[in-house]
Amino acid sequence: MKRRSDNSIIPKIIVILGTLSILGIILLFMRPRPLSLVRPKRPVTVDKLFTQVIRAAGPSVASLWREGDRFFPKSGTQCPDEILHEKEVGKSYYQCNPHFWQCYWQGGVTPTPSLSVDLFGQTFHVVATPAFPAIPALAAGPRYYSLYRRREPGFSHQYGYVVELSVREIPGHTQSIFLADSCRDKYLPQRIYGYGKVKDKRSEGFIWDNFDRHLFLDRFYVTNRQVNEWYLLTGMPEKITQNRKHWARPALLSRSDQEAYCAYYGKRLLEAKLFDAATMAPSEPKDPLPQKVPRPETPWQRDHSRSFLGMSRINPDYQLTPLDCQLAQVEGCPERYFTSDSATWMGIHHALGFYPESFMNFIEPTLNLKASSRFYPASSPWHELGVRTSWNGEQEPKMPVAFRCYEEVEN
Amino acid sequence: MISLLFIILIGNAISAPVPGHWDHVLEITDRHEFYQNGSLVVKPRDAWQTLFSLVYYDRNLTRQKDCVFYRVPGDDAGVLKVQTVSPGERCDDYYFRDQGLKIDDVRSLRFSIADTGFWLDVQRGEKRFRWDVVLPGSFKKPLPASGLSSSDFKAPGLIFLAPAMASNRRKFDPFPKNDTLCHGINDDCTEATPSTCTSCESGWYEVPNGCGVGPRYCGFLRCGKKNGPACRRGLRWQRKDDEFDCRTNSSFAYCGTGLTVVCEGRKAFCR
Repeated sequence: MKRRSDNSIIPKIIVILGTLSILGIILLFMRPRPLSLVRPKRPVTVDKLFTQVIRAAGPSVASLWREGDRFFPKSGTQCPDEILHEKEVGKSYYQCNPHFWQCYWQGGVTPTPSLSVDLFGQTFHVVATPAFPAIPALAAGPRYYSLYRRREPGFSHQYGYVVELSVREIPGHTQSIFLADSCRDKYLPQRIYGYGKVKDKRSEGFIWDNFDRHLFLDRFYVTNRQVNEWYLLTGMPEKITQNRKHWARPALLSRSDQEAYCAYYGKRLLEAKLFDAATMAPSEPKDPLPQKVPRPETPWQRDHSRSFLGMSRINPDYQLTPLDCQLAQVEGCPERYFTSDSATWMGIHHALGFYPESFMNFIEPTLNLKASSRFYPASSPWHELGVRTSWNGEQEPKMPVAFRCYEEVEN
Repeated sequence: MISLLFIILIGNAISAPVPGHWDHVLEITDRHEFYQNGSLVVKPRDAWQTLFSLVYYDRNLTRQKDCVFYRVPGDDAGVLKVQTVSPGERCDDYYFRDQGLKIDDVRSLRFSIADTGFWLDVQRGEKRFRWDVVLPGSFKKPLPASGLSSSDFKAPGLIFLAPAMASNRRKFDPFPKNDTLCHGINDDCTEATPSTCTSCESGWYEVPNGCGVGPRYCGFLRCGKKNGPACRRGLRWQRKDDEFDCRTNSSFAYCGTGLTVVCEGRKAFCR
């Protein structure tokens, strides 16, 4: 009896194990797989395939456009009509820069430019096409971009660039794309701010707030490159700055032209109180309604006397260090454009030093110039936040005046 | 075999492909107010109706609008029509103009519109075809935050454009003139007219009136000057909840040195 019962259990176990194994295999095949492993179906028509490849290339295109600094070759560029790079120019200059786009696609960065897209088990190569007419004032050849400024209401972007892309593996198709200038400005957080210096320590001085307002301030001064575009768009090509080495430098316009330039792009010349807000770091960044609104004298240190500027005042023999010049380009510092070293708390540059800067000032209209610049020694009393003087609005060779714009965007 | 191939070819001809540039549609407007998503369109018989219109930008950054019309079947078979017009024009004005794409012999039609796209299902003769269009990712405005740029706040930074369209447009729509009211705000702070200030050519300015948003006008900001509008100072720096009526508390506005805030109704000016 015992032997018979042993014999009857073993086949049952084998059957159960076998059934479980088959079930397991079936379940393994039927398990839900992550989406990324499910291959999208290759479109049947060439039109659809082209559209999908171009859409997939979107992030790479945006990256090349916005992060030109990352693509800038160590050996420099080979496109003298577009870029004459100087070591004084920081790589931030090449972000959202149409000349870098032109240089890249005409082979000045890499000999065979393309953006690779892996889709449907195939590698496609997306390239820009020189589909736009030459701008004789700049260079002879056709362009890989065209300047755009809106001609009628409707489009959300006031200005930008149009480019055209194709796919090497899918000839005969092109796609036009609008690229916005997403690198230009930074948001000013909504909170209470102070204007100017406060003479009486017991007074709050002039304070104001920007709640319910969306204000975006240019990170750098407006450049000759940007003003060249303004001249081209407004039919004044004869006015453009030809020297490519000067394109990254601040544009030196009269006060009325500064206002006209900003207005053309739906912006305004920067206001003095906005400059103070952007450069005077709040002591309580997380509290937008603090009881006290301090007026720090430098963007990086509350106590001026402990900064290199303060030490220079006390010690006439103070020697500037490279770090000092990164903070503020004062007299004796090497000239550096588009440096990202001196960012303020909200992300704009050149709060002190470098060039004198022009403002609108509706509180004290005559105080429309930040004099702190590389034309004054570190010991100068001009090198303090909130200190301003008057400018008659005309450029003079001895004291060039830069400017920047800001934009108020509706909700 | 040959007859099968013939049927396939005829079938394709009847089915009409989706207009290629509809891959670039950014917005669906003029949606018919009565037709329900997915329901057969059966009324009013033998009459033209605008089902919806599609807004997109072409290579020249020109705003274009495709009107999608339908003549509902009745005594005669239905007709589906697509006509490119200027975005400022009314689709209804184009019912009887025979331009653009026209698909006749339509027996029945249903359509559906969602935030992500739309479809049209058409019975044409004995054949049926369907147009499925997915919008290329509707733009969700980001919350304003440190580091954000104005262009990223306003719209996508990269926009796919349709090919240049030959529409009926003769000229561009004009910008509003400077000093034109672009956002009407009543004295009780309610909105009188919705904002069109993004249409201003050179920006806009506000006349502060003690409301969260004051009336806005196209043109240059020239506040704080004699006989001009006062400048906005804000409603919260005072750190107290208050009614900011210009006549009783004008701290929401300021003027340049030597000038004072005066009120015209609730609006603040400088004298």
